[in-house]
Amino acid sequence: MALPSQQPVDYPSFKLVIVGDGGTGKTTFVKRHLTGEFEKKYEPTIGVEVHPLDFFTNRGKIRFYCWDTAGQEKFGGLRDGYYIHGQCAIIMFDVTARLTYKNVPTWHRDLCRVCENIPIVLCGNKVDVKNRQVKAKQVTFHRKKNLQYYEISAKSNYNFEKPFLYLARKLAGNADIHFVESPALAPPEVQIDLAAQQLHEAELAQAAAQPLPDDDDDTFE
Amino acid sequence: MQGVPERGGAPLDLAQLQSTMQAIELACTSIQMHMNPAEAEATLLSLSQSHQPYQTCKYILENSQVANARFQAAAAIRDAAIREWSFLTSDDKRNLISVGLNSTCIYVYIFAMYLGCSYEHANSPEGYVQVKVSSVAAQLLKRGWVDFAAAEKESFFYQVNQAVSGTHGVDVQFAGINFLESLVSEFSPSTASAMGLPREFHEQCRKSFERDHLKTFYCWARDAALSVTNRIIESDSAVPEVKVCTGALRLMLQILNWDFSYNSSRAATNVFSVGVKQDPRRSECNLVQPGPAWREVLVTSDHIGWLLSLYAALRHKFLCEGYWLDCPIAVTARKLIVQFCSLTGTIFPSDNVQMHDHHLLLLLSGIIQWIYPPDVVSKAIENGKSESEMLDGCRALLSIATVTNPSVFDQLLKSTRPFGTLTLLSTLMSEVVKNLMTNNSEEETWSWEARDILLDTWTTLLVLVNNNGGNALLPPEGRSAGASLFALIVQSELTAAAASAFNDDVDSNYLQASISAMDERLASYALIARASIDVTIPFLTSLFSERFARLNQGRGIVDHTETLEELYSLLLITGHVIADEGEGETPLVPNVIQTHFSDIVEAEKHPVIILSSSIIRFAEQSLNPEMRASVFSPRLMEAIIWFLGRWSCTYLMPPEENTDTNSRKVLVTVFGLNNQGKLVLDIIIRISLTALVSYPGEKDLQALTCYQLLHSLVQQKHICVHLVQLDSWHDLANAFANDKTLLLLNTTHQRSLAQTLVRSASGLKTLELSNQYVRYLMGHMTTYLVELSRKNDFKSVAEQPDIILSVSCLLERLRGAASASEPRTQKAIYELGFSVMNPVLVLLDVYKHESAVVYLLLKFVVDWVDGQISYLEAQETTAVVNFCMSLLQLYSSHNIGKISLSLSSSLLSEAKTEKYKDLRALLQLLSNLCLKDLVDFSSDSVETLGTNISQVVYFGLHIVTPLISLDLLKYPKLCYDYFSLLSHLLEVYPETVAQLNGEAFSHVLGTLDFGLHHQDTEVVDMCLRSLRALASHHYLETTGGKIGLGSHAAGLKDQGGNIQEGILSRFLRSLLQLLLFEDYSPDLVSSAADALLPLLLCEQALYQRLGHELIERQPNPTFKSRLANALHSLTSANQLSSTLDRKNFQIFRKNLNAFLIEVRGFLQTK
Repeated sequence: MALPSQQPVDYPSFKLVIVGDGGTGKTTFVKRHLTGEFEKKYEPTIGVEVHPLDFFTNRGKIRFYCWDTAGQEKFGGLRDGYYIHGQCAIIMFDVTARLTYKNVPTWHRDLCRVCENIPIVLCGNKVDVKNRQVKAKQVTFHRKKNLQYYEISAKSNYNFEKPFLYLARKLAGNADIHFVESPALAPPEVQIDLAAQQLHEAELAQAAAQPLPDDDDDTFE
Repeated sequence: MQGVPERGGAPLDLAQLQSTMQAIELACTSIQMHMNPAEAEATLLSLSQSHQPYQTCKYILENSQVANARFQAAAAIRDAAIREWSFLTSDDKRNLISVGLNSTCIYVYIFAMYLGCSYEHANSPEGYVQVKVSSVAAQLLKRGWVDFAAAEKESFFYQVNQAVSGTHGVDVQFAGINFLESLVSEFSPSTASAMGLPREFHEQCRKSFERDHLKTFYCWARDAALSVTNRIIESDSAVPEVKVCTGALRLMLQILNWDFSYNSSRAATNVFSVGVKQDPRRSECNLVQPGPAWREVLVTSDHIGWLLSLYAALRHKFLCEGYWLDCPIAVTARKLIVQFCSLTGTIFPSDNVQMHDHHLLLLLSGIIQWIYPPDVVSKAIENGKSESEMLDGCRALLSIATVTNPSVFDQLLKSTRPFGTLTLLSTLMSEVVKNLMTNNSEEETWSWEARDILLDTWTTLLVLVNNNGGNALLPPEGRSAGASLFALIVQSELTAAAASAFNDDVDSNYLQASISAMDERLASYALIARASIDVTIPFLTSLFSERFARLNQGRGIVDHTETLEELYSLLLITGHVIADEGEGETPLVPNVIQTHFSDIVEAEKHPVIILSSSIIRFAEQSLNPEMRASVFSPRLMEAIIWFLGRWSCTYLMPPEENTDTNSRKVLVTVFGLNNQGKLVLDIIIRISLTALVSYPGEKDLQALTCYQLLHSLVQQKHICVHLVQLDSWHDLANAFANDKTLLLLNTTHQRSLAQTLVRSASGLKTLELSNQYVRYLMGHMTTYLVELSRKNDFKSVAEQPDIILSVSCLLERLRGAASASEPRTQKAIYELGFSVMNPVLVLLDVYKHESAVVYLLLKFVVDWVDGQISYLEAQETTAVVNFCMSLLQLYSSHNIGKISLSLSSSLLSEAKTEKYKDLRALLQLLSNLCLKDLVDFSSDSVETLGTNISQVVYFGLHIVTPLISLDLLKYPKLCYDYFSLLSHLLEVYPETVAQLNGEAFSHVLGTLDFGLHHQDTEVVDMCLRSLRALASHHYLETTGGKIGLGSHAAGLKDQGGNIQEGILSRFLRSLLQLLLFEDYSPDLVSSAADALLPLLLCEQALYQRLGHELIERQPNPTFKSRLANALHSLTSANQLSSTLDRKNFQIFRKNLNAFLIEVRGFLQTK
């Protein structure tokens, strides 16, 4: 899969379609990979934007042409028209907005209509935010549909490469592929310290009910 | 087929069709290649937006060699038909469509074309075109669903049935099944495509579809599958019929996934034999409850027997060509079998308990081959067999657990095997855990996934046991299976922990789980442990004592890293086993623990007390510096602090109710206030102080201590009563108030600590004591700030890092104290804020270029005002309001919020960040001030002293609004805060709007206009509410003979002498534009109606003119008259009057809805 608007490359490349409701962080996710920056502002994508993303694996380089599509109906452009010849996909929702998860079945259905049997990753974004509306346990859609699910945070780089790695493995039919050289990442905006996180999580519900000294408002979200 | 209608009814010539097709093809190719995408998109969109493009589309569908183009043509038919539907269905007699095509013909036509193209392209790789056409047909059928007579649908479905039954061959049969799949997906609310219609429409369709068709379609699918079953079974290699069978199974699965409305009305009265479980988790599970009408089809007709034997036959074929464990037909068949395990509800008659059991047993007998014997299955997977069948087996067990209770679950297997299902579950899980232990790789493996599913299964079964205490105990065999499973789990966790001890990689496998997964896993472990609590608690105690002993033996000589990691892990597990998460409430002692051990009355023999005491004694050793240095690593301390926090919520000085059992009584008294409670509390506080003082730089440890442990202690007032009497608490308070050590903590931790300490004042006996205590805590800090700000050389030293740091610390501490405001301490906290008013202004002046300090300072004021405002007496209010005025003035006079354009781009973005944060704080301050008018506990009215809150707030708006640029509104949170403040102000104080000066006023309205087109529905809604308030105010005032918005509404002459339209006229225009021509959520129509009505009433002349223009612009005479009629009904239907009362608003909502459905379609056609 090559695009004439880009220099053709001599290593495998794939069309990756990214879909999901508006504001779930699709563009931010792609930009994070592209430039390392975390975009704090929200500007809706219009139609589609295509970006090449290269990854280095133990089996050589691989390129994803990311078709970052508009999540908002009114800026949708051709909508499923962009999915044609998609070879893999990411469906993004926002764990802090329940509605975006409720709409996942529709995005999935639309994708599958156009791209039969492609590997799809479901991503719950913004897991760094303290008051989640969709808990990990409540995410069950992928089980019914045989999708891979990852909790990610574009802001903290959490599970940042997982979706791409999964797709690369599926596309190559090789479970031993791993990324060898991390693309330069900007330092995470917020640290998810997993060790502490375990403990924090235990008290999460309590935290929701008792206003902790909360610096949430001191950062962008 | 007579052909589709086209523009104006005249046939297009071939050359024209051909050239359009080429243009579309070219555009499609460009899109794929991403060349000139904007232009290509415009070409494609122009097709779907054009008036009745059907003939062109049909031509492309039939002639184009470019699959994309055919896809886009189908999409264009859909868009055009949905948009223009209302007049397609209208009376043909008006000769609108001279070709005589009515809408029924459209979908019959499309369906025929669909079958045609299915036939042609049956095996082409471009299946997506076929699927697209199928979905278009399904959507059009749905669009016309309500309009058509049953007979029309009948005849149409007759054709579909012909296709599905296979009379026209395998390809058409497959196409027919796919069409039904599209149809079900369109009628199911979760996947329905938007059609610009209200939700009621979709709901109506769903109901009628479920009632009249769903079961029929299921039977068609079943029959289609049956019709090809023999052919598949008899053949040695994959035959074309496999495709049909797979499609049919998929359709059946899809139908069983339907959210049957039948159960929702009956759920409350469900007397299903096994009993309805009150478990929040269950609602998320996918129960299949189609109701008794489906009994024959799904249960009593041996449908399942057929399905199981089909899959069994497939299993034998996995060695054949074209079949494998994960081939589509096998995957779908398994999913369907698993789905059948979730079947429940009134489909099983309440007077025949056996029917459900028999159903489950039948399924289980098929499924058990996928998972049994576990060791063999596991080995096969390790040797390369696909894990999917095994995982599906686990999922089936989960589903069965969801619809049964532990004893029914266990019994199922007993009728055919020497062991129960619980034992199977336990062996299976043990095998999985063993596999996890040996293959502890960092990636999610099959055993990882299986472990999670099986844990869910346990949780599902045991939650019930846990909630009911002793009432629904597991069968003894199940209990011992659970106990040995728990032992194995703990062993595996400890092994993993020990293995991770020397692994410095933070991302190590042990912590690989997604953030909350670890906790959920621990919660499931806890449930398993509690199911056999009499075994597991002593087991945990022995594990602890082994490790404590190990630490003591080799102290200073042996490296204990592994043991420490094991203890870390044990503490987490034990914390979950013996105590629940509070979820905001004070957690009770877990039921199982309350009811068990009830015969034990001596504390020293109570297993939970023994366990707790041994951990506390161990933790206490951290107070000894020598022990601390050799054993208590920061990481171990984190686990200890976490454990103490969790444990103390449940066990430490529990409120003395519910002492109904002896066991509970022992637990209460041991750690209650008359016994060891105070002692333990004292130990905990001393450990906390140690964690804060003796582990410098350990931010996580200190965060846990401040936010979790101490914070949760002071939440409970009865604990505060004892806290404030403890010497250790005084030490902590003293260290905070007078000692420099705690100034080294992270500043936000200091804020939390201040809040905690101030909050504990609620434990003091009198008001006076409480206030005195707060003064004691904070006195030094306010004095320091006052003195600092008075220093002559303050300006010159202010920039020194240590001064900035201590100012920051003090501001954070003040903020913490301010946020702990309670009626009891309000007075002292008011004085505290009052005494630093001047210093705060001085600091703002001095640190105007130090944005971090400015922000802390604003946040302190925000929290202080928030805690105080409702309680303040008039005089105090005046002081606070004046202070806020000065603060705002000072802030604005220094242009602190302004950004210099000369900054580099990265600095610019940083500057924007600062500005953004400040602005949010200022908006919060204004919102907090507004609260005074809503909640006021003071004895006198603010107005008595001439203080008008709305005035301050408007003054604030004058300062803040120029700083709020449209660019900043792209930051979601700021945007939200701003518009909620604005809509609040406009709704509560509309009269003051008119007083804003012209510049501020137009700025506010500019942002409203921006917000009106915002993507966030809530923001748009707030803007619409603002408009409603603004226009209603003007209308009511002017009808009452006053001036209302005055010149703002009347319009102005600008400098060039041009007349600027009044604001209400402007918004009438833009709102109409939005409603008629732009996209928005259907949920907004009601709010939009509420805003539009008063706007119409205010600007009737303009409205008439706009309506007239709209009509005139319409070239088509039919549309012209429809539009005129619709506009007329909008303002006259349902006896709409010109008052602004509730009833009238409601009528107008209805009218607007009808109006939009009527005209939006053709108005948007280009």
